[in-house]
Amino acid sequence: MSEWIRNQGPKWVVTIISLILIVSFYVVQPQVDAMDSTITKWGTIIASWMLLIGVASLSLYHLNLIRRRTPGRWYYSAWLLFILYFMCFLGYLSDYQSPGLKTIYDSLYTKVYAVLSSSTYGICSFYLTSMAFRSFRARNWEAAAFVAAGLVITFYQMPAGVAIWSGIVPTGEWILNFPVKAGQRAWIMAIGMGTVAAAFRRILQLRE
Amino acid sequence: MFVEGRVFSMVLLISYFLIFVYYIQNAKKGIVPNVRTIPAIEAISEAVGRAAEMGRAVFSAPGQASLTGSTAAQTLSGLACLEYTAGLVAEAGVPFIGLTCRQEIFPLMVEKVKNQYLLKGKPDEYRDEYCRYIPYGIAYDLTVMTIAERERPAACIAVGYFWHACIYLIEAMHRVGAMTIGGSELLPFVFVGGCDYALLGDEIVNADALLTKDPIQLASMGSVDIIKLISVFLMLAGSILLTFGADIILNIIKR
Repeated sequence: MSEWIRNQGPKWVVTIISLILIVSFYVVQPQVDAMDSTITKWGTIIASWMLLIGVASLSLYHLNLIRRRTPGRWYYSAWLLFILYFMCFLGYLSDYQSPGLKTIYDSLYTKVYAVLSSSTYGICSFYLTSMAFRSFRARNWEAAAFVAAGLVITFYQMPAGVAIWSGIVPTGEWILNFPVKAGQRAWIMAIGMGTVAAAFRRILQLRE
Repeated sequence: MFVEGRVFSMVLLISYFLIFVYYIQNAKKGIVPNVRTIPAIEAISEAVGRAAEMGRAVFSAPGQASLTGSTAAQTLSGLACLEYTAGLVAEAGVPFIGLTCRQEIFPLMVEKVKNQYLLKGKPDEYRDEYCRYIPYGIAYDLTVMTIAERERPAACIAVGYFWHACIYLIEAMHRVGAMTIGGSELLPFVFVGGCDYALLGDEIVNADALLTKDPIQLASMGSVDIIKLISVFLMLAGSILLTFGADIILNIIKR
């Protein structure tokens, strides 16, 4: 019995809950809607508890690095754990104990973390440029069309693009509204159909 | 009894399921559709072999999305690719770096990687640092760049749902000379333009079937092609009829 629960139990939980959620999407029935609502709430509760697993695994990994005094890394791990628990503690205290601490918490978030995030996000532009330099090579007709479309869209996005050629705006809009949109829709539909097939494989327990 | 506006969708789903079951039953009788070789899937073993020759690590990430929502299938495919990669890495004897930014994925990742080392007869070679968790956000973006620069993996297998972190991941790995294989629904051009091999469209969500080469799972991909044909027929017929002023197919779809 316990071996059946270990091996088959999770698969049957997936099958039954998937069928309930699918039926509740298409059928108007109060009992099915109630089951759907309960399952969704339980999912949210379980996901919240998983946050603790994240904190625990992060702590264990970095404590290991600190314990072994891994050269060049253990002090970064110590700083990470300090900031992690400091911010958790500060956030908890600021909500329940002192509004003054909330100001410090908000300042650390908006004036340190958000600013650092934005700066790091700026690296994207350099990486995208190097990627474009590598991939925009007109080796054949398809690649040449890709390069030409990429150039038109680049100039379309630039405010000075209109000064270079007045027809850049209608051309750029046509490329975005027709071939790009058609390709995006085909892509999304293909992935959607594949997702449904993957879901069927799990509902029928063909895959773990 | 049925929700307004979803009846046609329900009929299509039931038809899809019946076609799916038909292909599965055929596969059990030995009739399996011919699925072409996907270069990106075959390249995973080539990438791990290259890493073994160079004596460098192999990096794998199952995406940034969770197991809920419409991105779950891609995350599960990413986990299947990670598991397959871990098995090859266990055989090759090089270090493995698995990274996730979702706390619910982390225990699954650990379990899968440990199982692969156990199956290959090398449970002692598994290390806790092979599976890593870093919270979602800028921390994940910086971590992938740090891993690339510090540990210099020779191969990067990144299949799943990625947001903008894929730009950092692909470019940072390319800078250190890693062979990159990947695929994602969002920002596919990053993988097509930046990776050595890319998975496109439903190759991403069917990667677990392509990796196992199980006849029953491969047969399920035949049903995807049939439903694509039905969708194309409906689109063409609906467009042509609507051009001539007949909205019969549009009215059926709206039910």
